[in-house]
Amino acid sequence: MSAFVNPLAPRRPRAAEAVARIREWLRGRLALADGTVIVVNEVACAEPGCPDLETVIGLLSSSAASRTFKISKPIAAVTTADLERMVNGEAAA
Amino acid sequence: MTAFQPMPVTVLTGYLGAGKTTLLNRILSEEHGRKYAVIVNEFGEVGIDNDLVVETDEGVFEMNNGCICCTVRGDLIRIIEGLMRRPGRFDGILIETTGLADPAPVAQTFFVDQDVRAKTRLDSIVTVVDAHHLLGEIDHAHEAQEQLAFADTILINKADLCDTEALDKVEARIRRINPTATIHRTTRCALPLEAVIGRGAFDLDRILEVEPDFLDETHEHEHDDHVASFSLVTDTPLDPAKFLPWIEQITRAFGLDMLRMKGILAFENDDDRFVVQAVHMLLEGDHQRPWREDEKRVSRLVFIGRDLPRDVIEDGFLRCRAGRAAA
Repeated sequence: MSAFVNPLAPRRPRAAEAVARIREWLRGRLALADGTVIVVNEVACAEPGCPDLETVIGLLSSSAASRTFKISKPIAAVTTADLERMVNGEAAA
Repeated sequence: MTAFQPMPVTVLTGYLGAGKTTLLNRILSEEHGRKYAVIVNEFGEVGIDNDLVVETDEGVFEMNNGCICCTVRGDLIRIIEGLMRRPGRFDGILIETTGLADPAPVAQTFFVDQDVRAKTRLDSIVTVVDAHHLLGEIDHAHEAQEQLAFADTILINKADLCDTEALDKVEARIRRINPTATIHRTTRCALPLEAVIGRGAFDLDRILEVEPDFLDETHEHEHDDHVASFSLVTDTPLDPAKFLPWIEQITRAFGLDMLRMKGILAFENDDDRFVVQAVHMLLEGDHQRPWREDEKRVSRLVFIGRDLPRDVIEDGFLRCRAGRAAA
């Protein structure tokens, strides 16, 4: 096997606790309805200016417009302060 | 104590009346000792012989982070979360979609959400078509073409209503859209269960077990090819430093119209096969098994999509050959 960093390597799901924490915080902070689905994903992007890994969060609701947020760090590194900034940024947009 | 195994998920697509529910009931009623949860869009007139049936609303949502855009099925995420809270009651999940459903959001859901990806694995997409009606409908039915494009396994059902010549024409038309799927000719969806379940079609270890079956490209072109496929091949080893950024760029640029892509690649100074696959913009790749001594080290990529610029993609692919200066 030749030695190179494989940017396409499948990333096994991890940080299950961090995902659960993000979901629970968002559901409480935004008082989301039970029907709102929170999607949490970690994305690698090779675009110039993008971090190696970023967290993408989708709020999917059949009764309101869906929203997508991103935080420029891996899921496991996302803090409550990051989420607060994310929510405030969305509210101000 | 056994290690946790992600729950296999099989998606059944196909037009109304093609035989999806027949196939579903056949899977559920066979004596295989396994129990399946079934997710359906609506409880149809034809009953489903199962006590664990969940109804969806087919809510499709777009997620766009600026680099990657994909569509997901929010309802599926919610249902799967609920199903996985009762582990041990079943061994797999079957999703039956409606006749017009686009399989892309279903497939992408299993790659996007971390929890869904941790708890389940998309095993394969099975598309059922009506042998008797396909040729009369397919040119005007873009949804049907896309269902065939996404399929890993295709059942040409109601084969008893056609002669061999007609079935050959149906199969040739399907092959123009999807050269890599396994095709079965069936009557009342009768076929061994293992032909449909446990295919591992999205496992990188099993990518392209079926050799692509391309027709002679000089034959007639009178069809409306909303979806078409092409294959790129070279027996010159590829340079990973050129190929990997290139395939990421192609996936970002053309991913919205690239329904599926699969490939086996021979990299320079590398004794292992490298395999790639993509569903729209969701791309992954990894080393697989070593090349066998009797195996020709040929790189092959198969693209299935809507109006993909073959000349642009082929030119870029050939520039990834080792020892050639990049443009």
